[in-house]
Amino acid sequence: MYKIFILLFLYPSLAISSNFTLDKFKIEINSNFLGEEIMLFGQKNINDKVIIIFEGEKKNARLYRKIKENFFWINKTKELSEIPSFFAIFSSPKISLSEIFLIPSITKKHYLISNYRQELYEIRTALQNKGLYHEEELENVDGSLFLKKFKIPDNIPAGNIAITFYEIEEGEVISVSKKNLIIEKRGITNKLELLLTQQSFFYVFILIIFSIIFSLLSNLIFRKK
Amino acid sequence: MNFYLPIAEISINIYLLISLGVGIGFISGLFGIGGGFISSPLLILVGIPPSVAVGTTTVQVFASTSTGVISHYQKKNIDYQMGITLVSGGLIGTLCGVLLLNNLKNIGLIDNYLNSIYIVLLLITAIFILYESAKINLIYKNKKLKLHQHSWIHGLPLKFKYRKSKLYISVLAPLSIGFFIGMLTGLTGIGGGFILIPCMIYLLGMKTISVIGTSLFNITLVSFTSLFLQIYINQNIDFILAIFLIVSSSIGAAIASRVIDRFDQENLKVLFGILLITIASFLLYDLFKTPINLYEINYV
Repeated sequence: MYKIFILLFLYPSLAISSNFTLDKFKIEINSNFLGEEIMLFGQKNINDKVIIIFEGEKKNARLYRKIKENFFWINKTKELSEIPSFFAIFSSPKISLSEIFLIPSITKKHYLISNYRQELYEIRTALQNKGLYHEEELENVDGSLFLKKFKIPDNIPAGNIAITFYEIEEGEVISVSKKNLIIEKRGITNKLELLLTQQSFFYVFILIIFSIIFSLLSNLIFRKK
Repeated sequence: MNFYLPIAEISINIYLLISLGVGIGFISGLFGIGGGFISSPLLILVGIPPSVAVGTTTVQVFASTSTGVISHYQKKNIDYQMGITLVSGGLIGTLCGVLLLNNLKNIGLIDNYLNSIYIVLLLITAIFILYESAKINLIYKNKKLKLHQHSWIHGLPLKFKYRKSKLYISVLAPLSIGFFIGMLTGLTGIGGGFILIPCMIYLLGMKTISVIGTSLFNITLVSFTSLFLQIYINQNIDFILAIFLIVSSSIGAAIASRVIDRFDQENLKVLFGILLITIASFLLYDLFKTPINLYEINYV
């Protein structure tokens, strides 16, 4: 069904240029957020390659590496900066990371795929373990049409995800286009986080009042008479 | 059915959370403990980040002890002089504990140290309970037990008269005990009643009648302070998780209060000791087993 939808959506522009879109450009994190499936689809010239990179907002992070010391597994920590909160590379046809390393106009813009360093491998693996890193091939629908469904996990931090579309011809980038996917906290989730970070005293005060009330109520209702 | 926890930043199955809370409440009610030292490790085992598990457990401890302290206040079972001495040590201890927790979180050793502390605490308590139980059952079954004996603690300087407990002991002893318990509260989120009560009875020689009230008075004030420190220093208390835990553990405690008469108290103690050893074994296994993921990343 979705293939017909894509064909209908893209048919008028089939002969014009390579392009892409998402089924949604905004994800709201609320109390029943379990992660969200995103559908990416678009068109390309049959002979060209495309690479689409999703890169979340850059944040400071800590990388923990488990090492074994005297039978125990302990963490070794490294402070990092400018680490994207989400990273995904989709390509059609499948382009390996080592091939992408050879395209400087892409690698110099994306730190996580800038070289072969062990540290970058560890960061990518750590992100992948949390569902925050994807490296997959786009599904080819009809020669020039592609699509990919993937999941944004429930532990995604709020913020913008920049999506960059690269069209490659003979190893060179011939066109670039950009879009944004917005992830934002809404409702009680957002209010509680704001309260905690901006009005901590009030947060504790409400928490204390709630805990005493709930505790007294539960005692009144459930205790043996 | 899942629910998104805004501070823990994960979604968790609501039935799992309620079962956990009811279970913790049931165990607390059955064995007469606050339950903090069980809920913290269990929350970590179900995937709540350690720092959030510790912070949120503090709220649960505060909620469960605050209502108890009101009841003991009405019965005049609190030794305020002793309570304030314990709290004074406890406040400094809590601050040290919260700062240490923050430091462990920053250097990435929180999992290892918290697990190790829980294992030691659980095993020491289990051994103590099983030993006491065996002593009563096997050795002193027909003998009258002496409540306390004078030890090196009674020879410490800076002695003070605690009128309600009819004690003349050094303030250093309750201050140190308060400091130690406060540090545990700040570091692990537990109330520490399961250590504090034996210390008050066996080390300080307090009368049993005022021990529970004074211990609750100390734990309530120390966990109250710890709440503020956790929020300001670590920002690790999840409101939704805390409310779920408070309500469900109260239900569990209520169920326990209805069935407790059917159990023999000495058998319950043995059962409690075995339960503590089981939880400690799970945590110990966690330290030894090869991790599934060798790399982990957390945003600051």
